Amino acid sequence: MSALLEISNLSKSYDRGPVLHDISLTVDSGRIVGIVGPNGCGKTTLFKIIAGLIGDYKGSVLIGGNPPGIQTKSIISFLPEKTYLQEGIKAGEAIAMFADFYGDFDRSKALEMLKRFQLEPKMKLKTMSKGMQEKLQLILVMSRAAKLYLLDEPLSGIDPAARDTILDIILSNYSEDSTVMLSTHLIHDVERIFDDIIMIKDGQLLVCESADSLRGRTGKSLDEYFREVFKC
Amino acid sequence: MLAKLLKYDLKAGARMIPVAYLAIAASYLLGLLAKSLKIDQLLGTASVLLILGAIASVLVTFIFIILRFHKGVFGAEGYLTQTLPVGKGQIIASKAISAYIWTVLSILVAILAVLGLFQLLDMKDIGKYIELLFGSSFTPFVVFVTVTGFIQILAYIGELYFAIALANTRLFIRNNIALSVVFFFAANFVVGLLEIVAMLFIPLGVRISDTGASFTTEIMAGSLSNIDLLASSQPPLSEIPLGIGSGFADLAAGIVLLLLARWLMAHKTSVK
Repeated sequence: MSALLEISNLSKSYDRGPVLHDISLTVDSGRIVGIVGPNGCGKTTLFKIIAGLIGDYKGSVLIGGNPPGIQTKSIISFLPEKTYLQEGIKAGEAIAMFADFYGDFDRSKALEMLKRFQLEPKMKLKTMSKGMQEKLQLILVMSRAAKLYLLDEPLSGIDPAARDTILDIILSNYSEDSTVMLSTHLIHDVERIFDDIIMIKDGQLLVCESADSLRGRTGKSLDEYFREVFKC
Repeated sequence: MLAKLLKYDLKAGARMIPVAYLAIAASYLLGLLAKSLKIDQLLGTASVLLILGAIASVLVTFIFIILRFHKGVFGAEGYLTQTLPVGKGQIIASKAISAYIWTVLSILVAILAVLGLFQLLDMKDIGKYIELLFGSSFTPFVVFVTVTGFIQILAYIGELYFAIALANTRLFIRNNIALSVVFFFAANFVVGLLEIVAMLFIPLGVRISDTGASFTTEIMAGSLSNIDLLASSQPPLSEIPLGIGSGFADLAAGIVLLLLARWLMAHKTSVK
């Protein structure tokens, strides 16, 4: 295994105060990594820095040996919490757009998934429910053969019945040599899929190790450990 | 990649701006109908609608430029725009080119609307008034205004993008919308001052006379100081060289502001 993501002494502050404080971690290729922590702990900021959305941070971030930039954006597939498509865009147009910009985008795979989840290419984003919009964005993101998938809270706002569908899309569409980083606070639903776990508390790195090692060390499931650590 | 970005930016404009053009076309057709049926009241209404349409086309374009940059780069859509495998410079260039194209198109459509109004209202004397005011120097004057206007559009886009980018830096992001407006007016004021200084003191101008236009290296400020402002009759246009330094100032300001916006985007801004 080789390090896909190397972060050293990463700190980031907003005007309300520090969000990430001196974080150092390494993520290898071919892993499914859970980023967990309560709301506001810095998970989204970490993803935004890796994805190249935030440029004013301290420390070093290297993806495949390169700092966030054009090169890294071509190997990262990022699913933010927000709906980032234009309101008036149709599902088919969004697929065409991704195919235009990303050389690793598989259009037929996207159309197939669209059909599977009963979304029509002619459907406009603004006529879709929140769940449908999230599914569409996930389809777009997972139809790429990226090296690193950053999925920010893909399960939030999704009803429990649909969560398995979302996990199914993720698990059945990433390649074995790519890495998936998935942030969530719904650990119970997803802990079975994690190879590694990163826990962040108040902007500081609490845990960065393999899920099995954490379970063995603490004698608890990830969910139980999470609840213990983040107990109010 | 720039061509692909531009395609989507132009498409976004095509969803919004041509509505104003259609309104102008509809108003003009209504005017033609009213004119042929000799219904004066309807003709009056169509004329007002034509003027409103002309104003709306420019206004809608202005709003489009602001929204496309603010929402597309720093709003929710920025999560996609800024994670595409393209450089920040390409993102700005694409948005600026698209904004420029739509602005020029909207101004042309607005001018056509005004000409359409003249035609509907049979304002044939307008040519006489122009001749009275400008003599035969009208054409070179129009060329001068058009060229400087085209350059000025670039400065406006630079001011807008710089103001929005600055308002989305860490210090100002909490009040980014209000501060975008403040920074735009501040940038506009500074560029305006530069324009005046450059126009008056850069020794390059155009002298427009009855026989046409010619370049001159005279300083406009010098020529103005020789004119007696209290004289009963104003000097003809040909006696004052029109400084074209303002055009260079606009061009430089537009480029510098766009580069600054790019730098801010790369190093100082966050997507909300």
